[in-house]
Formats: sequence, structure tokens, C-alpha cells
Amino acid sequence: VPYISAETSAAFRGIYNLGMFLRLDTDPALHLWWGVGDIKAAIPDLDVDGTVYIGGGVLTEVPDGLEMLINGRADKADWILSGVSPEHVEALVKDDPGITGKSVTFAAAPLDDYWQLKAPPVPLWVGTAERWVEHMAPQENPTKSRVLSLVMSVTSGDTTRSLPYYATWTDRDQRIVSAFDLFCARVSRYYPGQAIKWPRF
Amino acid sequence: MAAQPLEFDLNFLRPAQAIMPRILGGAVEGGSALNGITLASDASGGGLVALDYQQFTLNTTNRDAILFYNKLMVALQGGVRLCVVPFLTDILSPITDADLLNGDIITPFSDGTFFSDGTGFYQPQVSGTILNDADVGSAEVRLTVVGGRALQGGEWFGLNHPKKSFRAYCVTEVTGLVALPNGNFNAVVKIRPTLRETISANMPVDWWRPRCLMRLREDPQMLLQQFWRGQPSFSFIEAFT
Repeated sequence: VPYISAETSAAFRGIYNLGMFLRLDTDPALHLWWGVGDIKAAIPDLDVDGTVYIGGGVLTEVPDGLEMLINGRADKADWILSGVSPEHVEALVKDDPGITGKSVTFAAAPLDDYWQLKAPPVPLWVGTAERWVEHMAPQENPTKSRVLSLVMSVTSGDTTRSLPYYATWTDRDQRIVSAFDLFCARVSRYYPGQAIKWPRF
Repeated sequence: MAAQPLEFDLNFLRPAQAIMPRILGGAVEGGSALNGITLASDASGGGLVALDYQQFTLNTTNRDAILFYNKLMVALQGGVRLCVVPFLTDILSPITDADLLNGDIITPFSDGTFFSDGTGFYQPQVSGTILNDADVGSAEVRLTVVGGRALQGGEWFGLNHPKKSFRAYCVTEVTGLVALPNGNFNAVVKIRPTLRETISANMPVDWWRPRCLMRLREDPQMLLQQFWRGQPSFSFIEAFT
């Protein structure tokens, strides 16, 4: 069975409206989608039939950091829910859902002209929730109201706060892992695009 | 607990013109194809209902209207507090041409008497009910039109959901229409926006002046010339608690 079924990929090839879904594997699981009203949808093998995804509002921005673990780089993505009422945040603080370590799934589905699912949502990105914070930017324009946002930091791979960010493969980074390893010793001499010869130690 | 929504009373405040209810979506362009046609994709999930009421006639002969406008304006400013807005979509309802001029049906008590101030029970000329249960997010509804004319598409109707309160929907397509012997209609229609909440059979349908829970889209200003007359406006957008 292919990861994306033939039926789904056929639906994605046609003309469709895009539905985007976010699932946070807390207990009970949080189901949000980028739409105004609620919708009945279920990610196969994750959700039970009859799951209702809550309308989280209109999508304003897609995080840049939705990348898989490629070339040793794992990214963090911040999912931001803008326009949260203080009462809701208060309720969240009083009864913290404990999201750390929970699986986060981002899925997309094609919708037809009547905003009905043409195929079940396909999980496109899976991350691990790390923490949530409340965020309100300083007021710069007094004629505009301030927006309170909830930010959920999600990691892919193993980039949590406690781990160093091995993005550049410097000699020093490598020596933290293995003190006498010379494998990255010449990295600082390299430049992008250089044809690297295998070193003769 | 959020504040209770305010009621917008058309008896106090009547706009002279309106930008009729419409749905604001968020289309995303999908890049142009070789034939030059740009494919658009909507990622808004259905969009929000928006409505603009313009040119409320405010003058000293109607001070109640000025005060009512001011009350709504100040209470709703910032878009935090919500308001139940009746839609003046009289012309976009399945009412017959004759009934459009007749006004509401006024019914007395069963013995023919009225209330002490002479008023009775008011009922719109056209009404209806939901025929079948439908899931949240569904775009197809089976319903009836009682005392009206055949649906053509383009009519607005309202539902009062138990949790999501008043919501307005527009008929975009009529896929099935059965004229009943008593002059009423059963219809299968496609709607926008999609259902905000699961509905069940026998739920009343407001074909006449549907209402919707909304908030202000932009802060209004009441410009009063010589402090006694003005034509301010309100622009509303659908809101959720």
C-alpha cells in the first residue's frame, strides 16, 4: 500500500480547495483545522471515525520550518494561534494539558467545491510538541487592538532545548561526541561547493 | 465567561443601504498554467459571513437611534463583544411578491383577543423546518419552505444552533425541489458556509430576516454634522465565542 493512496493523489491532482489539519496527541487529542467552522474528518489510523476537527480560524502563515530531518538539520516550528481570549489562556494555565513529548501531526486534504473532503487527510509532517507559551507583542499602533497568541513549539527529529544544535559539523561539535575523532578536523577549511578529497591522515 | 452578545434592533436603527451578506474566503493562487489560467485554491475552509450596514439615518427627530447607534458602537468597539445581527435580506428570501408588502402575520389568542396594547403574536409570512439530520461541516441540507415560493438559489436562511448560536447560510444550488399539494416546498439545497454545528430534523429555519452572531470588522465612527445628523455605518463579520 503506498503512503498516499491512489484515490488521494488523484484528488490532489484535480482542482481542489486545501484543508489543513493539526492533531496534537494529548488525552483527549486536540483536533484543529484551518477553517472557520468545524468539520468531520479523520486521519486514517490516527483518528476514530466521527472525529470532529475544530475550526481554528483562517490560516495566516505557514511556518518555514516544516522540514524533515535532512542533512543532520532538524528544525523547530512554532505553531501560533492568534486572537486567544485571556479567559481561555487562564483556563489553560490552571489545567495545563501537558503537551511535552506528545506527537504532533500536520495533515492536508483536498476539499471539493462544497468544502467536503474528497479524500481523508494525509499526514505530511510529524513532530514532537515541546512547550507552549503565551505571546503578546508590544502595542505599536494604538488604533489597532493587541492580539494575544498561543505559541506551541514543535520539534522534528531530536532538537529539543537540552540538546546542542549540530547544524554545521564543526570539529568542536564532533569532539563533543567523540573526543579523538579527526573526521571534522578540516571542515573549517572547506567552502560550499568545494570538491573534497578524501584526506590522507 | 465572555460577555453576553448584544441584540441589534432593527426597530431602532434601520440602514438605508447595505452591502449584502457575503462570504469572505482566502483564496491562494496556485501558479499559472501554460494556457495562462491561474488556478486558485481556497485554504480558508469555507470563509466567514460578512455584512455591511450603511447610511443609518440619524437626526434629532430620532434621538433613540442616535443613542442606540452610540451604545452599539461603544460596546462593540475593538471587536471583542459580539452582537446578534438580523439580516435585511427580505428581497433574498423565498417570500412571495405579494407577501413582501403584507408584513408579518399577526395572530390573536385563540378567542380572538389581542394583548392589552393591541399587539398579537408576530410570525413571518414564510417559514420552514429542517427535514433531515446533517453533520457539522456538511454543505447539503434538506428543508421545507412554508408559505413561500420555490427556491431558486441565492436565498439566505438562518438557524439557531444550540451551541454556536445564530448562524446564517446562503442557498447556492437547489438540487431537489418538490412542490407539495398544500403549496409548500421540500427542497434539497447546497449551502455556504458549511454547517457550523450538527443539525437535527424539525429544527426551525428562519427564511425571514435570518440572524447571525457577529462582531465589528472595523471600528466605526459616528460623524454627526452640526451634532445632529449623520449617516454612519457598521461593518460586521461572523464571530465565534
